[in-house]
Amino acid sequence: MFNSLLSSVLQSTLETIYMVAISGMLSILGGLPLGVLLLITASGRELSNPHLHHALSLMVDIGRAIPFIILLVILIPVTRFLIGTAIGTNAAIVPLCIGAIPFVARIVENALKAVDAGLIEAGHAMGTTTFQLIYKILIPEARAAIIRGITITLIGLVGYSAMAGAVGGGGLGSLAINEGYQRFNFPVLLATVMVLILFVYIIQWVGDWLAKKWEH
Amino acid sequence: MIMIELRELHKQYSLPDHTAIEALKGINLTVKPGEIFGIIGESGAGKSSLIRCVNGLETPNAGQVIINGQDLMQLNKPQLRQMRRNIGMIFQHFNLLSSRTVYENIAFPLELTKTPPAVIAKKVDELMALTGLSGHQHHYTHELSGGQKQRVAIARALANQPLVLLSDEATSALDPETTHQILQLLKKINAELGLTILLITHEMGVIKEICHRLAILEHGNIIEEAHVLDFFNRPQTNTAKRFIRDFSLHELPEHLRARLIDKKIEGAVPLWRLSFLGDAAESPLVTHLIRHFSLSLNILQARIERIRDKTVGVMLLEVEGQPEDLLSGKQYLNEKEVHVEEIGYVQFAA
Ligand SMILES: Nc1ncnc2c1ncn2[C@@H]1O[C@H](COP(=O)(O)OP(=O)(O)OP(=O)(O)O)[C@@H](O)[C@H]1O
Ligand SMILES: [Mg+2]
Repeated sequence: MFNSLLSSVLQSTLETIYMVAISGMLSILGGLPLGVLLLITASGRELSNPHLHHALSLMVDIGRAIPFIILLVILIPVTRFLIGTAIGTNAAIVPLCIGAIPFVARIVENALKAVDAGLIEAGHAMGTTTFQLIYKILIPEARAAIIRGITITLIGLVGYSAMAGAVGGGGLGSLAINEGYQRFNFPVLLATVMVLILFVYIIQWVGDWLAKKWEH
Repeated sequence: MIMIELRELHKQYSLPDHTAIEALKGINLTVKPGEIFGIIGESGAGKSSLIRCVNGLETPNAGQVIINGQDLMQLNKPQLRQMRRNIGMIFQHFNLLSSRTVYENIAFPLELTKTPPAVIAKKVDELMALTGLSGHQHHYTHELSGGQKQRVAIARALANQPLVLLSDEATSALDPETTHQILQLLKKINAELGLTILLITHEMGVIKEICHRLAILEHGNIIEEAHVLDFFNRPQTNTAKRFIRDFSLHELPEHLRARLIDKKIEGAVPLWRLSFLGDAAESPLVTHLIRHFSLSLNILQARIERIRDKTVGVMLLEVEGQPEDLLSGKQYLNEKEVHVEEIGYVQFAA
């Protein structure tokens, strides 16, 4: 009894880690360039393009406006198309990414916006290309703020992944709902909640540590 | 030979309400190689706009910027970037990268040009020695004092061996002692490397300490241009005179400044500031003034001052006498190549 409980919690924990890690990574990979693009296409910036800027901005805001639970449902066809099924941990990664990318993009945009205009001016004065300005000045100077924002996003993903789990995504969420809640298995419910708390705590701790290390 | 030449430079900014501000109204200026040229002006005069046109951070609406024979307006974007690498710039707030150490900040411009790491290491070491930063390579910028930060910024600006160094109020955020040290460093770099320096400032002290020549910028126009010594001894415009007056007031001892008034009132006598090149002896002047113009003088201060590298005598006198005697006294001093300036009036503390 105890062993099977332990193994199912362990199994679900690994699934959750998998979902959060992969969707977190993909969200950063997608959100970072999108955030940079939002910044530099704004009027008066390096690649000023107001139409593109407004289009991206609208997309990002729509993405952020749709509640995750609804996103889960309306993305089912997309998920089927991409993954082949709408059930399971891999399928859950699709809505998780789509939900998180707009957040990461705005976080990155705001963090980069906050970089002192004097540093950008110094960069231009030293003859940086736009690309050099981004990866040698803007991103390094904003990295602590970006890390803080990504920490919040990852914690959000832990919560969303549990939600995705509840509708067939696997992981701690589905364990808590299917085992713990629907079968009144209180120890399972408690164990999953404990693991989730631990997750959030570890992510926050690592995020704070990194941000602090990079803050000068 | 000309290093920087500005021809009929105009710069306008359009404001959101569709009106335009004319920041520069036809600037003509030449700076020779190896020269330290200062531009002084009040807030809003257009100083930053001018210096930012020199490295293309700002695009002029009309006119030419010619650096070492190359017209900036003729360059395309990559060429302009290339050109900027030949023009170092330092700023009031240093603008160092907080994510980088001292070493990495100085190496930054070299990284941009894909310099091999071994060459960078050697170059950065040299620059740190030149700017007095040796031993600080691993410090982050928040661990440095204002003066040290500006030294890092100077080293960084020199990394690509520029032809020209632009300084936008580089000492305005520093205390007087640190200002002096930074100015001495700029002077040393100018002398040792023959680097041309164009600086802007609102402080006469900066001009006086290191500039060879200066120009006064007012409402987007250059209204006076001179060698520094001539400027202090023979200012032409009222603005120039006011700058010098304010500067001498600033140097006045506190107890005198408190007693100084603008207008002549009953019982107040003029306060004169005499300045002359070092070799004009001061005592015969004073004796002569007393004897021949029936003026009674009270010497408040007499000292030797340095403008750039020349010595200049400065005297502060309270002068009492009839208006016509005061006038002929002034004429006499002018004939003797002594610059006289009436800074104000002092009331006798009876
Ligand atoms: N980007 C801008 N947009 C609109 N107006 C500007 C801009 N930059 C400068 N100006 C205006 O142009 C004029 C000259 O400004 P500038 O910054 O060159 O003066 P400054 O002499 O450097 O002043 P300060 O000593 O205060 O730095 C001012 O009236 C200023 O308001
Ligand atoms: Mg300015």
